[in-house]
Order: sequence, then structure tokens, then C-alpha cells
Amino acid sequence: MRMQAIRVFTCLLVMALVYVPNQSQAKASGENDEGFVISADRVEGGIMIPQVVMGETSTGKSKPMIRFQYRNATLYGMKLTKVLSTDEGPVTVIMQAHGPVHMTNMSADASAFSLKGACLTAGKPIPDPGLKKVTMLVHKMEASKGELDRLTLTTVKGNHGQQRPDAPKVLQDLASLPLLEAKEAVGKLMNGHLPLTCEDKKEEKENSSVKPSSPFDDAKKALPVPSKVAIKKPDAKPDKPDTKHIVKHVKKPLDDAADPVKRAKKPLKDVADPVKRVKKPIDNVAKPVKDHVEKPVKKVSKVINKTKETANRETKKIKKTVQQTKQQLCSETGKLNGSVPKMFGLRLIDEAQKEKVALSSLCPNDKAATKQLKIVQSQLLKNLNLPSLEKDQLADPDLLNKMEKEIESHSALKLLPDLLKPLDGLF
Amino acid sequence: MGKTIELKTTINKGNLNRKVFWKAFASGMVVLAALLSFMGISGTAYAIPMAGVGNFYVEFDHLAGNGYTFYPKMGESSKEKSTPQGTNLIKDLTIDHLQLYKDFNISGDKWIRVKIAASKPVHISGLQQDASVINADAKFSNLALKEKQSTDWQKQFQQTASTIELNHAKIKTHYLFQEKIMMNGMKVTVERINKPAN
Repeated sequence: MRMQAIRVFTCLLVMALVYVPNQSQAKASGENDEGFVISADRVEGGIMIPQVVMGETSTGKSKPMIRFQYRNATLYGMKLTKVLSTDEGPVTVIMQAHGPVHMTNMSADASAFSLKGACLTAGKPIPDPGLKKVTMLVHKMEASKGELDRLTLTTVKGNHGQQRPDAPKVLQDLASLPLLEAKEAVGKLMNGHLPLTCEDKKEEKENSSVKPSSPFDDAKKALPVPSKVAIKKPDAKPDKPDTKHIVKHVKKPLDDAADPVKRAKKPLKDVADPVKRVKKPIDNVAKPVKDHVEKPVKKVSKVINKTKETANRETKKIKKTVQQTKQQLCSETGKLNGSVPKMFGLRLIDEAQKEKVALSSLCPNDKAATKQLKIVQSQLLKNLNLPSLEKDQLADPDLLNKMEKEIESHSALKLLPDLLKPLDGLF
Repeated sequence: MGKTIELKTTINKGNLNRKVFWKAFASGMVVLAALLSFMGISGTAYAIPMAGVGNFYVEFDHLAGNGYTFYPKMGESSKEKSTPQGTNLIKDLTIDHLQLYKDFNISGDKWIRVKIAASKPVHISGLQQDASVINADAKFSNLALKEKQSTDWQKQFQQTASTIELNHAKIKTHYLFQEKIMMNGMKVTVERINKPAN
């Protein structure tokens, strides 16, 4: 009975051993066929935006990928290979363009890639990255327009696939997460604009003695490190990646960025406190200063008042002098015999303008002067050939405007030669 | 390419292996007869398959069509029962300067080419063309190359486009089917040619 049980068990074990490798082989083969490889010697285009997305493959519905987006892209030396596992062995679809390939509104979702010429940051546009030696494991590629010069599309037997590039660390780590957590982490990567490539540079930095903190370190922290224990001990349960842990690490770079702000805020507080302390002594100083200054200020105001009075007195004196001067002018005018020297006449006109009175009313209390002034005024108007202008208007502040109007009505006005004579002549 | 021989022309029998020649010639004629009988006098034919004659070539200056789909498959060729091919489906298309030809080895290094050419544009609806090699300058709009999750390997990879334009094309074809074809200005010729390079 026992022997029979052992035989059955052995049989089952052998069957299991035969079955398991086949299964794993099939799975491995299936995973190996995932995606199609697109390579290009170089890719030229405008702005390229890398994004992290979850996309469909031939073996799964959701896999983390990087979406390369171009408004316009030109690929040189493009080759696409897709290996398919059939019952009769592998088959390869090869699409090769011997001329340039122009793509408009192109997007390619790649789960693995290798390229030279640019470091990628999630969601951050790169203007004309000029990528070289590009190889991508693509699962979906779309373009609103595609022009492929000298295209050769062949379907051949055997595996003629190109070398598959490695997935960047970020995508490897995302792939190890459960779907929901991976989606959450993708969101964090995109929102945080975290770096996606340039691991080599990071490794170089790590190898050097000085380890400057780079944004990539934070990106790495954003994702859990695949459990080494799980790799070493197949029996051990793999560590389940913790979403909170990822979120915490994705948040960390933001916290790190926030800390300097807090630190910068602290010195400001430290400065503000002494300012408050400084304010007190100032108040103490202000009081005596106020007391000491107030008295002299009062004294000064008294002095100013005295000065004012003096100024008023002086003004009165000047006014008197001016009046005396005017009287003098009027008495001099009264002595004229109808002929007025030009300089004196101008002085009279100037005085009449200042007082805003008619020339004939400049000396109302002096009859002789008024008589002479009337003669001067009529003579002046005669010389100007403006007889229609009322005599009183000569003192009008808008005299010039009125004269202009008058001139308009006497377009043939010609200044008499007398006016053009030198100032030492007579009106 | 070679000298054009009219169908009724007497061929010099001296240096030919009669058995091989008539075998090759007959198979070519069967293809032509099948095609011509389907086409009728009007130049319009329905549900035309061209298969069982092994691979043949399709050449044209320009093709413009819409509703394009490509996917891989295994199909029959002149040498193998099952060989990798790509199925090209186009809903509606117009082809300028279409030529279909097949080369036959009649003896040793002696070859003839049976060719069908259309001098006027050919309109086709519901085209299926299984080809192993396509050479052309291609233009697509709304182009998509996609993977799909499927246990059927033929459905795992697909190329689609809303419109397709091919210029200066040469297609190694194994199977051709049209739901409807309008082929005016058709001419059938048999040419003696040197050994084809392809």
C-alpha cells in the first residue's frame, strides 16, 4: 500500500516537474514576444513630452510605460520588428524604411528603451531633444500622419527581432507594484515631474566620493526597492509594496523642497524679534528728544513770526516805493508834448498791462498825464493801423487774441515802417 | 524586360522542353482564364480570388485607399504549404497603372512572364491581399501600430490606418481577393524574359 502511494507520488512529481518548466517556458516565451522593437539612428523633431502611462500589451491589460509624444518627428534609419510565437515556430514582421520617416502628432508607448541625447523628466517638455541610437520596446504607436519613404514590409520565418532594450528602473519598480498602487505612483511621478532616465549619471555620482543629492535619488525613493530577500529565498513571501510607503517617498522630495522655505522663514523671525527689542530703546530715546526739541521749536516759531512782521513792513515800504515810482512815471508822462520816446512808451504800456488797466487810465489822478496817455494810445493804434480796435481794449489781458482776430479781418494789414524803426525813435 | 509575344504567335519549338513549357504555359493560362471568366466583358467582376498559383507580383504607380488593416498570418505559397505572410485589407481603393504578373520557368534558364495590365485606373472594393514582401513609398493617415492581448497570435499585432497611399509599389503576393473590381483597359500579354532577380 505504502509502495503504491510512493509510486503515485513519484509519478505526480515527475509530471509536475515536466509540466512546470513547460509552463514557465511558455510564459517566458510569451513575455519575450511582448511589444515590438522600433529602432532609429536618430530622431529629429520639435518638442517631445515624456509621460508615464499604463498601457496594454499582448500578455497583459496594464503595464507601466513611457509615452513619447512629438508634434512632428522625423526618424532616420527606422526599423520595426515584431516577433510572434506560432505553432510552427517564431515569425517576424519587419518594417524598414530606407528613407526618412515623417510622423505628425506621433505618440509611442514604450515599456523599455535606450537612447542618447536627452534625460527624461515625467511630463516635462524637451525642446528638440535630438535623440540618437534610439531603441524602444513599443506596445502602441500612433500618428495622425505617417510618411514612410522606401518602405519594405516583410513577414519571415524565424526570430529576426532586434535586441530588446532594458526597462528603466522607474518602470521596473512600477511593474512590481499592484495595479492600483502602480497607477497612484504614476500620478505622483507625473505631478512631481520626477526624472525618468539618466541612471548612468546617477551611478557615476554614487561611485564618486561626494554624493550630491539629485532629484533622481528622490525619484528612486519614490518607489520601493524590489525585495532582495524575495529573490534570494523563493519560499519566502515577496514583500508586498506599500502604497503609503511610496506616497511617503514621493512626498519626501516635496517636503525636502518645503524645508528650506521653513528654514528661510526662521531667520526672518530671528530678525523680527531684535527689531521689536530695538523699538523699545527708540521709544526711550524719542521722549527726551521730543522734550528737548519742542522748546527750541517754539522759540523758532516766535522768530518766524517776528520775521513775518518784518517782511510785511518791508512789503509795505516796497509798495510805497512802487507807488512813488508810478507817481514819478505819471508826472514824467504829464510833461510830454504829444511825442513819446519809444522806450518810455513801452514802459507805459508795460505798466498798463501790469495793472490791467487801459493805457489812458494809467494815471487817473493826473490830468496832464492822462491827456498825454490818450495821445500815445491813439498814435499807437494809428501806427498799428487798428483804428476799429476800441481804445480801452489795449489794457485787456486778451489783447493779443483780439488783435489776431482783428488782423484776420484786416488781412491786408501791413506794419507801418515807423514801427520797424529802432527803439530810440518816437511813436 | 523581354520580348512581348502575342498569345497566338507560333513559338519556335526547336530548343524548348515541350513538356515543361506546356505545363508552365497551361498553368498560367488557367490563372488567366479564371480571372477573365470572372471579369466578363464589362470589365467588372465580383468575388474574385487569385490563389493556388503560388506567389505572383503586383506592381503599380499609385494606390489610394481607405480603411487599411494589416496583420500577420501563415498561408500557402508556391513552394510551401505554410509560410509567413501579412494580410492587407483595404475597404475601397483605386490603383493607377496596375500590373499583375507571374514568371514561369519553361526550361533551364528560359522564362516567360504572363502579365495582366490595366491602362486605366482600377477600382476595387473589399480587397484582401496576402503578401510576404511589400516595397513602396507609403503614406498613412491616423496610423496605429498596436499590440492586443490575445491567445491568437494573429490578433496580437495589428497595423491600421484610415487612409493609405502607396507609390511605386512592388508586392510579392500569395493570395488576392476582391469583393468587386472594375478593371478597364485590361491587356494580357506573355513575355519571354531573362531569369527574374526576385
